[in-house]
Amino acid sequence: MNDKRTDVLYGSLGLIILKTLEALGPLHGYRIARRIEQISGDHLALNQGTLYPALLKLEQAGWIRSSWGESDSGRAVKIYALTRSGRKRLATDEAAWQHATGIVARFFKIQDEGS
Amino acid sequence: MTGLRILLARLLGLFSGDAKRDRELRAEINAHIAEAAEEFERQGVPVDEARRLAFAQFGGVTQTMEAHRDGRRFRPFGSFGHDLAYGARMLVRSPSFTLVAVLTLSIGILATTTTISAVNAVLFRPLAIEKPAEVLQIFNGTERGGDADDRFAAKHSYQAYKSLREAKTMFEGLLATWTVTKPVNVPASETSSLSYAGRLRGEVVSGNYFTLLGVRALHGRLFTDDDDRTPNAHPVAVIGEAFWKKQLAADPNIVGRLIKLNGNPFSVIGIVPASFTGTNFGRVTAFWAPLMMQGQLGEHAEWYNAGLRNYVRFCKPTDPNQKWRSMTGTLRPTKDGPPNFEMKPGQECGPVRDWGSLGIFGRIAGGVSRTAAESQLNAVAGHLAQASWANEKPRFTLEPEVESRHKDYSSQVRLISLLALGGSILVWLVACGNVANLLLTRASARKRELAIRLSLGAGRWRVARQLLTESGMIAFVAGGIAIVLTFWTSQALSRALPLGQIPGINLDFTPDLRVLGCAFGLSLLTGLVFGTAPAWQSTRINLIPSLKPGDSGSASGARRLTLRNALVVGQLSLSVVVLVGAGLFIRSLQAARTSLGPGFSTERLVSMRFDLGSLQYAETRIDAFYRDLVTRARSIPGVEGASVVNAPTFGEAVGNESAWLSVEGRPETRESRLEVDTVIVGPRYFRTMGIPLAAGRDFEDSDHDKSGAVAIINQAEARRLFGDEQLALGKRVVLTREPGNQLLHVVGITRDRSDDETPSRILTVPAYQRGAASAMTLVLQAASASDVRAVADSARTLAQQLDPQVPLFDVRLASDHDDPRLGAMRLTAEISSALGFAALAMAMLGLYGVMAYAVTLRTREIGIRMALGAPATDVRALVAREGLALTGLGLAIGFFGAYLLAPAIDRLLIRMPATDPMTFAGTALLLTATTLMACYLPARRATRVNPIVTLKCE
Repeated sequence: MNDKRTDVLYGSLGLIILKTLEALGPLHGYRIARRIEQISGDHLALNQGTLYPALLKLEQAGWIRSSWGESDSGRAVKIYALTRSGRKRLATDEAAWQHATGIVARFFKIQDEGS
Repeated sequence: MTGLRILLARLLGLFSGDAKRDRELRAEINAHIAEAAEEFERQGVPVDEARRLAFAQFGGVTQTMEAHRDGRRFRPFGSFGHDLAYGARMLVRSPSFTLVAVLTLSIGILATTTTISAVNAVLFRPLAIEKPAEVLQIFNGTERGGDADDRFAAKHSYQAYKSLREAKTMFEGLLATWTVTKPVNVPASETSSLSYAGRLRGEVVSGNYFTLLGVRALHGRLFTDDDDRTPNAHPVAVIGEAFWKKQLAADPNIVGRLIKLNGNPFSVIGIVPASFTGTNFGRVTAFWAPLMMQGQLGEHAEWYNAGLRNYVRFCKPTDPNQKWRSMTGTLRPTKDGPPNFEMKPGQECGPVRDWGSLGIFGRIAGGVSRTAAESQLNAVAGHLAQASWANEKPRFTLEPEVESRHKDYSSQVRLISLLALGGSILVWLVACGNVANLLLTRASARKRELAIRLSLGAGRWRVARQLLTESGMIAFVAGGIAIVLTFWTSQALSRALPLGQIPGINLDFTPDLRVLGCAFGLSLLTGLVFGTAPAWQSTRINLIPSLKPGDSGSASGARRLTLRNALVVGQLSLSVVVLVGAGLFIRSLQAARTSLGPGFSTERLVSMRFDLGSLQYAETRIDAFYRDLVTRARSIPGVEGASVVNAPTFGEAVGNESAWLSVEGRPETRESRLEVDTVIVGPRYFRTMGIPLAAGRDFEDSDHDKSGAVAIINQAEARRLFGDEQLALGKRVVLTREPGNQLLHVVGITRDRSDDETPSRILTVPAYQRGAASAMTLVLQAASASDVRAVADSARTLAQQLDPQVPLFDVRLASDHDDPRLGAMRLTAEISSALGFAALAMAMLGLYGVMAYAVTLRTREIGIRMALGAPATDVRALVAREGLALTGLGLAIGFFGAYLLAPAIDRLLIRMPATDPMTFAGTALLLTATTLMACYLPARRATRVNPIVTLKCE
């Protein structure tokens, strides 16, 4: 495995999926997986299979919904779309994420200044 | 919020078809792979390779499906359900192991739950009243008096009750109750030909008694305040359900029927349900009468006269070895106020205290604390002291009935309860040890399975949890069985208790929620106790050798053997403790049989009591009744002898008449006026009872009022009067008593009771000279033990024919006459030996298991020894030596434990030190013998080891 590849940060996969669906609109599972890989520049070690339990959980929470549709190549696939409450959730989670990473980042900064 | 939605979705998932969702997911995954492969193909990868890459990129399809499935389902306990299912499969797969483990444990748990249900009923279960915790009894205690004080603290005068009830206290109400045992007559009525005459326990209670306690009538109505307003004006009574059903054949017209209590007519107005048996715990109340009627039930005729005062004071005895003596009496006021209390010179007495016959209970309102009610009660107490002559302010304490029961009950009951509980817990521990050992054996058999699971990546904690789940399941099944059986065994125990045989005593041992809670907790604890050792060991399995076929794991085997040996030694020492206890009780019972024995054989004895006190007969009529009774009873077929005695316990004096003896012609001094206990008996009493005299003769029919006055004294009194008992016979003594002195001719000497260190001095006089007491006991000696019942029935009929009005009660046959202490001893001995043998059997089973396992482990060594020419006896000795070493260690630890417990047991033993060497030696012998038995089979198997086979295995 590529050393640069890291595991998906705990709890962040759901957020990544929501953000992907917001940016690109309704997608099927494979497209979501590919998109995540592309954005991360192949730095994320993601077994594409782990996507599906995560999707299930988001759907159970009511943040996305799914329906059977067709892929570009005409295959029957399940297409996932963001719901309104999912959009709201994404907004709050994104803000919280920025806030949290901002704080952590500041600590690294302080260390840099010290050395 | 979100968590709730997910939970809801998963709960709904329980109902939607799992298979359909699986198919959908499979289709989705297939599409995913196909899309991915297509993309690889587009990049120029060959078809097969593209597909392989797509799969690799996806990761485990099965794992994804599994994770998805888990996400869909509601799984409250995570992997616990899985553990349960797996555990159940494993247990079912080895039914004999499961059966033995479950049975052993249920015996251990059952022993404990049965004892707990008895202890609960005796010490902890409150009375069957509404909110029992709110009902408190009032005690008037002082620092003085010690034992004597305790007996009087609960008893208050009517005047005290009245002023307490009028005072402002925090109680919702105060009730008073006077417990009496009185003659009860139910004459035949127009509607029922059934009549009854006997003596029963009753309570004379204030009108608010039932409303305050929250007891409701089964039939008719119970008392209200209106039934208790004016002295002597409320001849109404209520009766208990048990009395109504048993003695009155559940007469449907009972309400309104006339009954006689203490000879006075009362009209029955209602029935109290059997669940409530009165305020005296464990004793059945047969009737209740209003407090205003206490004059009709034996209280002083002027009891309501505010001037009359009952008092008690405690006086220090002149003999420092004796207990404080209580002096009670009733005083009438003089114009000058309280009278002076006369004191004998040299006597030291405490203050005069108000005292009476009433127990007072109050109900405090829900929010009021006991301490608040107590301090307020004491605040009004100063006023009470003024109102009475008590020259000491009362010091009130409040206690719920359950708490006072702990104090009230003889400490023996509590001690026996605790010992039985302790003993059964030891048995339970031995059972746990046994099953732990079984599990260890099983764990070594399962070692390979566990090693495989560990090597496939199962966490050690995960495996240990699985094993604990299995132990928990065994424990719960065993606990369930034990709980169900407890309902039966607790009833059996309550029937076996000597308490149950005494009429009027009733204890319900049925387990309640408290007991069930204990049993449940115990089962849980059981699972942990016996499951921990194997679970812990399983986490220390050495993987590599365990996976190798044919490994006997000698290194880890040795360690396992150490643990198992420790378990067995623990079991052995616990059973030694129980066995020593049992042995001590058995030995003490034997010693007590001779010392507590009544001094006569009871096996052909029949006795029944009569009380003519309530009938207002003239003395001559009472004499005539008993004279006829004895004369006619002698001619009952199967009767060898008949007589009467005024003391129901045979030989212990009753009555508080002051009388003393002196030698004729010798001047009296203050010191020589030592009161003697008087017993009145009919002719041939000692012969009838089979009590041998030390010297002289029994009373005869010829000792009547026309002949010379005679007396029989016991050895102690003879020694006091004449220095030597041999000198007393034929001498004349002066009896000083009301109304005047009397010269008596000593015709016989009785033996002192052997168990008394300072035997009481007893004077026995003939009923035909002294006159019979109103209450006497008829004693009959049947010709053979099989006749006693018939003799009792004939005597009862005879008494009915003589005078149907006479209350007859307390009919006793044969062993009913034994000292109740003997019954308690016998029970303790029986319970402890049952526990002891259960513990021993289980410990021996454990020892057998360990020895058998040890032989298996040492097969190779034994084979080599035999190949080198060791004879079979040597091999057997090898095994036996090992077993005996364990037993020796167990004995040493157990003896030490028993020695530590000795002070607790000592108080229950009669004429037997708790360190009785015979008991310890017997226990050691028993244990050694059983050890050899337990080692026999493994030892025999060791000698059958075939050296060639074992060595080939190498």
